[in-house]
Parts: sequence; C-alpha cells; structure tokens
Amino acid sequence: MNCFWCCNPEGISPKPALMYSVSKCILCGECAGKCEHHAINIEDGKLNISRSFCLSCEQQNCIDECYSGALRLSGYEISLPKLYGIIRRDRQYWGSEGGLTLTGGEPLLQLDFVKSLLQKCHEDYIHTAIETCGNIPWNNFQEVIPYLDWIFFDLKNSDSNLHLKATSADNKLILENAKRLSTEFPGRLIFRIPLIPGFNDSEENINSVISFLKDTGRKEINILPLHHLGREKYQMLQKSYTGGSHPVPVKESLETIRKMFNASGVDCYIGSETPF
Amino acid sequence: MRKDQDISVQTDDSLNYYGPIPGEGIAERELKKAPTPRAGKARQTYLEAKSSASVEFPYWYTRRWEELEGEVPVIRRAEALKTAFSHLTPGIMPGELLAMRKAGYLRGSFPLPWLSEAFFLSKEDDLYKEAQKAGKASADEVTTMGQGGGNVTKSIGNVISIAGKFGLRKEEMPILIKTAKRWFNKSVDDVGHKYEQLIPGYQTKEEIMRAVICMFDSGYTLPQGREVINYYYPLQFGIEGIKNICRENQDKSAGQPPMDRLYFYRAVIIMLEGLQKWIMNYAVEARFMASLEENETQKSEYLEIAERLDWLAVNRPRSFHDALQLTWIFHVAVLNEDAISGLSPGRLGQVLYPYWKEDIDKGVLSKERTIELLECMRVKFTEIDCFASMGVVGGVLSGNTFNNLCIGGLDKDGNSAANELEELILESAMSCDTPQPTLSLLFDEKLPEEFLLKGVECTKIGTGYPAWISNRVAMEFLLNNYGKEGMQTEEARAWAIGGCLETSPGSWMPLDLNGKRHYIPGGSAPATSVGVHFISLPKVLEAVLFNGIDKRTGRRVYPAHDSPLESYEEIWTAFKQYFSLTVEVLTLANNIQHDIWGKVTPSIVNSMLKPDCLDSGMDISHKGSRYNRTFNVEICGGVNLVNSLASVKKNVFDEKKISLKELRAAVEANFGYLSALETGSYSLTEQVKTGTFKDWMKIHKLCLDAPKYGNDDPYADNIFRDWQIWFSKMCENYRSLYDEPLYSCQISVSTHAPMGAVTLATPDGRLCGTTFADGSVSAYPGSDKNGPYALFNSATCYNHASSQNSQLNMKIHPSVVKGREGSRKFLEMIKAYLRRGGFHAQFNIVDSRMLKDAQKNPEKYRGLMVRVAGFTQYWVELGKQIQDEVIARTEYEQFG
Repeated sequence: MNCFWCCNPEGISPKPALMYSVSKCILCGECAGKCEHHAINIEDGKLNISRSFCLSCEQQNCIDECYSGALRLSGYEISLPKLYGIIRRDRQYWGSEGGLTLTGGEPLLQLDFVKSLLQKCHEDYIHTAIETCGNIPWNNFQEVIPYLDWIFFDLKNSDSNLHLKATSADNKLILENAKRLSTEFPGRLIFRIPLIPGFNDSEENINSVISFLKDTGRKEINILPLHHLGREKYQMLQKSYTGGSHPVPVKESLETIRKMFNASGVDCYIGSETPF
Repeated sequence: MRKDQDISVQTDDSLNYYGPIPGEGIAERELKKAPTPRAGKARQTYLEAKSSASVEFPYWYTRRWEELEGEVPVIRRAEALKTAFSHLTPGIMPGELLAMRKAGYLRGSFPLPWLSEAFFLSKEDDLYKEAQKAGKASADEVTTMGQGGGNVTKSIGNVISIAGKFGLRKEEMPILIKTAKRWFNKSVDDVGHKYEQLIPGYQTKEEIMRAVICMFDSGYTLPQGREVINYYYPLQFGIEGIKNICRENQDKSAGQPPMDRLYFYRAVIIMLEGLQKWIMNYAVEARFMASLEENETQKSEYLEIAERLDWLAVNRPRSFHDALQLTWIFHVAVLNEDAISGLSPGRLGQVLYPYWKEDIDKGVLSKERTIELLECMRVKFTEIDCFASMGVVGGVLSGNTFNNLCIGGLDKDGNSAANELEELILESAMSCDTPQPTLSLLFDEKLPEEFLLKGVECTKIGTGYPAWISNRVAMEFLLNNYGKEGMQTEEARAWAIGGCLETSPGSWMPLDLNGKRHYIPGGSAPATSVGVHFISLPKVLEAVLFNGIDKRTGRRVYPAHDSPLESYEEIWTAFKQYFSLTVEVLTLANNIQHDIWGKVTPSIVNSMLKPDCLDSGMDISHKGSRYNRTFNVEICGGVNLVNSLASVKKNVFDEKKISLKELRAAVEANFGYLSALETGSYSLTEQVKTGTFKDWMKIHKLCLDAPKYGNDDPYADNIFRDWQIWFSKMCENYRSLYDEPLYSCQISVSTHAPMGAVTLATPDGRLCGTTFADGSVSAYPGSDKNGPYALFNSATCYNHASSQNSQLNMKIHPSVVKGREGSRKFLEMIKAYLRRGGFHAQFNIVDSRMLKDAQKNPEKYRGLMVRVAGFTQYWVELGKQIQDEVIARTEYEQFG
C-alpha cells in the first residue's frame, strides 16, 4: 500500500532508500566521483541524485565517501540473533509494562523473520504487539497470531473506492481480515483510524466504522490525527508530499468524533492518549 | 493558542496527541509551583544580590594570630578563629526565619589569606610574579567565569572585582593587600610549596600543573569539604554541654599521653566561646532591629530570633525550629573556618525528624509552616559563596558550593529511612527551586513507591535534583574501603553524599529527646575528596603521542618515553607510565600540602563535630575521626580517552587505515578546523572549518566513525572496562599522609571545560579546545547513537563500586516524561539503570532551544537552573564553556 499521508515514506519500498540532507551537505563532490552507477552529480551548486539510476546498492560508496553525514541509507539488514540481542538488552530498562511493537512499512510482509522473532519473544515472556495495514493474506496473520498479545489494525476508509484512490488498494481483504481476527485472535485487537480531514472524517465514514465495531464486538478505537512531521523525509527522498494539502484535524472535530463513538458505547482514544 | 496560519504548520493542539514530538516553539517545563510569599521575596532579594567579600574576618584573625606568636599552633588557631568570629558584623534581613550568615552581606564571604595569599596580590606585584613561576596560575588563565547573575567579574565604581567573582569595597582593598602580605611565606600554600619542592620529581609536578594536566593542588585551595557534616553534638548537648565535655576531658588528659589531647580540648573550648559571642552578637542585632521596627509582626519576629539565638548560644534545641536554626549555625561555622566547597548537610530530614514529629504531634507546628521554614532554609543555603581563586571557583565549581542534602536510603536496622519530613523537603525544593541545597535520593528497593514518584515529580521540574543514587553500590564501596577501618554493614547504611557526588561514610549517633532515643545519621570522616585532583586523561594521551611534550606550550612535561608506539599495547603501556608518574608526584606534593594545612590551620570546628574527635582528643588532621581512608585520585575526560584509544586501535593498528604519523599531523592541524579558543564556542557542533578542512576530512571521518563508548559496542566498552579496572587498582599503590591507600574517584565537576580548552584535537575526532565529555559515564555529546539503553549498558560494563562514584548526566526533552504516565515510565527507567549497577544518574529536563535562547537573552532567564555535574546552578552564573557543553549533551526525545 501507499498512503498519501504516510509519515514514514522511506518504509514504503521494501528496499532501503538513499536519504539526502541538503543542510548537512558541503558539496565536496566526493560521493559523485565514487558512485558506480553515475547516479549523483553536482550542477549549479546543487547535488542531484537520479533515483532511476541509484540502486540503493550494497557497495554504498557514496555514503562511505560522505564526510559531512549528508547521505545515509534509510534502513539496514539485521540478523535475528542480533536484533534479539538488542531486545534482550533493552527489556531490562522497560519496566513491567514494556514490550515489543513491530511496525513499518508492513511488518507482516517479512513473515518468516517476523514469525521467528515473535515466537522467540513469546517464549521469553516479552509482551508483543504489531501495527498492521491489514492488507495481507490471511495466512500471514494465522502464522503469527499465537505469539501476539496485541494487534493495532488500521481502518482507513469504509468506502472501498476512496480507499483505493488514497492508498492504491481497496479495503476488501482488509475488512475480511479484520472480521476474522475479531473472532480468531484471542489477544487484544485495537482498530485505528488515521484521521485525515477531507478524506475519512465524514459523519458517514465514522458511522460505518461504528457499525463495523458493533458487528465485530469491539469496544475501543484509537484515532491517529494527521500530522506533517514526515515532510522532511520526503525532501530527503526527493519525493513530493501530497499529504501537506490536508489540514491537521482541529480539536473540536476530534471531540465531536470522540462523542460519536462514546455514544455508541465505544471508548475512543486520540493520539497517544491511550491506556496502552 | 490557535492561530490562522499555513495549515501544514504543526499547532500546539495537535502536538498534544502524540508524545515526543519536537515542536516549533520552546517546550516549557511541566510543573511549576510557587514558593510562600516570604521565601519568594527572600529568593528575589538573593537573585538581585552580588557576591560580596569583606575583610573583617581575615583582619581580626591575622591580628590575633600575630599577637600569639610562639603559642601552641592549635591554640593560636582557636584564638584567631574566636577573635574573628567575635568581630563579624551581623547581617539580618527582614522576613528571615533563620538567622545568621557567613559574613555581613547577603552573599557575603571573605578571603582566607592563611591558606593562600598570592591571588589577592596585583599582577604587577613581585610576590604575584613569584607565584606565577610555579605554574600555579595556569588553571586561572584557561577558565572562564560566568558573566551574569551575582558574579562581580569587573570592577564598578567603588567596588573592586577580586578573584574574578567577588566585589570588595575599594577602601577595604589596602587592608586586604596588607593582610595578605603578612601571610607571605607563612600561608599553607607558601609553606607547603617550600617543602613540596623537596619531593623527587618535583620538576615534573610543576610541569604537570603548567600544562593543566592536573587542575589544582588540593591542600591550600579547598582543604575541606566533599564530606558530610555531623550535627549530633550540638543537638544532643548544646554548646555549653560540649564545653563541659571538653572541660572534663581537659582535666583527664592534662599531662597524660598522648599529649596533643589537652591542647585540642582547650582549643575547642576557646573556639566555642567565639561562636557563642558570634551568635549573641546576632541576638543583639536582632533586638536592635526590633527596636527600630514599626511593623508589629516583623518586630516580634526579630524578637523571636533574638530569644532563640540567646537560648541556642548555650542550650539544646527545644523545637524543630530551634534544631533547624542550630544546624544552620554550625553549618556556617564550619564554612567560616576554612575554604570549603561541598560541605553537605547529609540526611538532614532524618536528623531533624524526631524534633519535627514531636512538634507535629503536639500540634505546635503545621506542615505549611514547615514548608515555609524549609524554603527559607533553601534560600540561606543558596546564599553561601565559597571564596577561592577563579580557577577553583569558576573552572572547577562553576560557582557552586555543593551543599548536598540526601533523602531516602536505609535506617540503622536496614528499613526504609524515608520519612514525611523528607517529602516536605522535596515539596519545598519544588516550590522554592533554588540551586542549594541540591538533593540526592539514595535509592534502595525498600523505599516506598510514592516516595520515589515524588522524587520523580521533583526531577521533572527541571531543576536537576534530586540526583538518583544507588544505595547498594555505595554500601559496597564503603564496606570495601572503610571495612578495613572497622566499618560494619549497619554503619555503612549511615552514609550520604558529601559534596557533589562523593560517597562519604557516616555513623549512627544516639540522640535523646524527651526520654526517647533516636539514632541519627551524620558524617564521620573528614574531606573525602582530597589528594590528586582532576588528571586530564586526554591530555596525558596527548603527551604519549608527542613523546612527553605539551604541544600547546612546547614544554617538556614528562621524560621522553621514546617508545616507537608500534602497537596498541605500546601506547597503552606508555599511557600507564605517564599516568602513574602523574599520580605519584601529585600524591607526594599533596601529602606535604595537607600536612602543612594540618600544622598551620588545623580544623577545630569541623573536628569537634566529627565523631570520634571529642573522644580521642585528636583533630581530623591527626586521624581523630572514625574513618580516615579518604584521599583519592580524580580524573577528567575518561570517555574521550577511551574513544581516542578505540580510534587509534581500530584505525592505526587493527585496520591500518592511517599511520600514527598521519593521525598526529591531523590532530595538530585540528582536522582543518579553527580552534575553539578562536571561535569562542566550546561545543563540537558549532566549530568552524578552515581552508584546509578537505585535506583532513577523510581522517576526521575515520576518527569520528571509530567505535565510541556509549553504544553498547564491546570494542569501545572493553577498553573502558580495562581502563576502569586498572585505574581503581593502581590507586591503591599510593599512600596518603595518613598512611592509607588512595582510591579512585570519577567526578570531574566542571573541569572538563578548562581542561578541554588546553587540549589539542583528540584521535576520537574531538576538536582542539572543545570541552570533554562530562561526568564519568556520560557519552560524548552526539556520539551515542543507539539510544539511552545502549548507553546504560555501556555505562555498567564495569563495577561502579570499585570507585567512590560514577556519574551519568542525561538531557531529556520535557515531552518525553510528560504527564502521569511519563512519570511512571521515567521512574522505571531510572530504577532499571540503578538495578543494573549504575551508581548515579541525573537529568536536565529542559529544551535545548530554551538554553540557546537563554544564552542570547540572559536577562529573561535569571532564575533558570540547569544540572551541570553533580550540582544545579543558575544558568547565567555558568561560564560559556559549560553552557555550550550542556546544550550539546545528547538530548533524548524518546526512550527506547
């Protein structure tokens, strides 16, 4: 999926992307000279990265030669033992209510890795949670359900066409998965709405979410109001950010929506003001 | 506040829905409480007052001293103190509930030329030039003093600035000069200097001081402090009662060996007579002020002060208010007998609890009144100024006096010692947020959760206190070190922090109150941080790389090692040689200085208070107190040393990416940057490139990319651990003047700024003149890239109990610990670090944008306080080097 308001655009592609910070760059040109794919050049005092030639390659010559820290890769590969080593180290500092949350991108696209990691954590009494867009084969859920305590599941729009337009996928599979999880997942399932004014904050959409919650027997919803904090990352990826044309939700409309949910007996949490 | 603006701009409302999001504006500190009107007014008066010196005390002291030529030294000293105390002009301010202060002015203090007289002399004076030759002034030259607040850094009108901080009335200057000159060749500094020149390796010692590898001599600068005071005797016996004890002992010891006892008991009686006169002078002053006062409330308050002081000049305290006043009197009395920084009241809330509980139960005291009294006490402690040279006051202390008050910990029987009075101490520290007394919470698993959360609330205010300290680690250190002098587990529990972060031994003393016996804790050792003070580790490594030469001055500091440095081991060996030589010559020199201190100006007030001096008849410089293994070796810049060694090991030897020769050249060229002294900014992030920058950028990147301490990377952490193990072991090879082994101490206070200022770029990529990493286990700003948990793991890679302390400073953005949930998570994090074996953690919960704004607009931030290194200080009274360093400390905007 590819949602226009995404605040982690570097996670949309499964491959790590080259990120470039203009403010740190000293235009020394070392990177351009070392790129084997000739994807970087400096013209008129500006550094250009040709995204069609840049392969985010393994050599990373450009990053090795960057002395100002302007270039970096958005991700890296890590082995299961190494990642688990970090979790094992960190759990000492979490306190009794801490745990692991996998997020993305869509974590369940890396099923084997995610499954092994969750299994290991589950064995070692580490609380586990996952944030998912829901648009993945049911089997992927089935594989990890036994090792998960919580699932955060996005409901972006009840209107399948609007959903398709905004995220490049319709909501059919998502809703199917959501219904199935609500009967087959024994842990805590929390639905979330990334609230984008003008896209999914209409009364109609909220009401259909309410009836969906009623059907699935859920009593809580988490609203994530739109923010524009990912804007800089678009610049670093040299992508354009279309989410910027939508305003962030105003407090009053959030309160109205909260009241609608409350009236139907659903607890509505906004942003990080949640009990979890 | 919602404004119509570009819709894409984040508004305050939406920010609230997420936790740690860096917004556009400056994040406010979360909690704010107001002091009582009385304390608020006193604090405001304080903020407007200037550091003021006077010459009464030194004048009368010197005059009496000279009259008594030929008298037994300790008696001569007691008489001089008595005369000086008796002649101090009292200073009482309207609205005060606790009376008495160091000198007549609100922020009054005075020079003590019998310790060191050289720095009062003008730079043109021949005597001053004499002192210069010995390399003593180097630390002063590289120090910047805070320019704001109450510091008097420039002479104005009839006020002359002395020692870079204090204002002195012009007409008193000739008296000061004249008095100072009387001590030429007689002060502890001068006499000590005469004899220290006889030690083998003296020339090296002098060069070490000149190169600022060592910051300062401890014997004559701040001979006392970094210890916990003991208020027991005055509380239990009253002043007249102590005199009676001394009279009895005088009778028993006259003519009997050991002979020194007679003179000590005599000296205590004389000194106490002086204190009685001093206290009664204040009572007279209070009555006089009452006679002039028209406001009836104020008038009766003056009369109450007079009545209380008259009573306390002789008797035991009758109430909580009395007891608080009496502890304050003795605190000031000790401060006035010597140049002292870091005299901690210790576990004052536990000392005073029996009095408080009685008053509360009797219904004669309310919690509200308690808060008011405690707030007033805070302002009084904040008024304390320490008079010493600029290098000491500015460079080491940042103007702070480290009156550390401890809460929590365990009682004599091993149960939680936290009490309701301590909760009020926390509350008053939140409502009246002054730098002194700073608070330390002695964390133990047995402390109640509510108490800990109250501590978190206070830390969250952004005042920097309480610092969080592990009771378990401290007890392990104490039992290791003082066990050899007979300390048992029960007594190890009586400890507290002396000074900013020095684990100090204590004792339980039996206080009788209305037929009940209470065991109260108090200090039972003299200064725990004297000896070898602040060795600059990166500077020693610099000397290793350049075969013993100080590149800044071009002078030879150490004998050439002439090692080819062809392996990492050879570098490490050469480092150990130079470091050991440094500790050796400094130990010998400081032993002599401290011995001279004990001979010329022995402590009488503090000796009398410390168990068991009154029993043994010996003062603290004759091992009269219960514990005496108190000399240590302090270091600075440890993390930059470790990072530099890691860089050399990796780049030069393991991966052979550069030669040592190239690295040396890069370091000398400062990696193509201007030096911090040229830019005027001491933080790494704000350095300016020169034209040659590109020639060095590849080497600089290698240095910056080398493994760094603080990332849970075994490559760097193993070097750190090796260093720690070797360091704490090697200290035991040296012996103090009391013939006890030294131990390692990991505080650097503010020395990481001036010591960084004289050090070239380092192989870890740090630039010339910039400040070292602060604390002892804080990461170098910006180099800890794996978050706080990785830092915690690195920090605890060795046993912190092998040293007197360790120090972790963290800066946290206010948004991270927001709200009730934030408080709970914050506490979990602190606990986890301490459980892992961390000894100490302290936090600046303040937005760096606020600090930057405060640098630009100091007038807006007179009351803003930040945590520096074991202490909290007003922002505007900090030197620029330290301000830059605090801003640069890695700011955590998220846990984990």
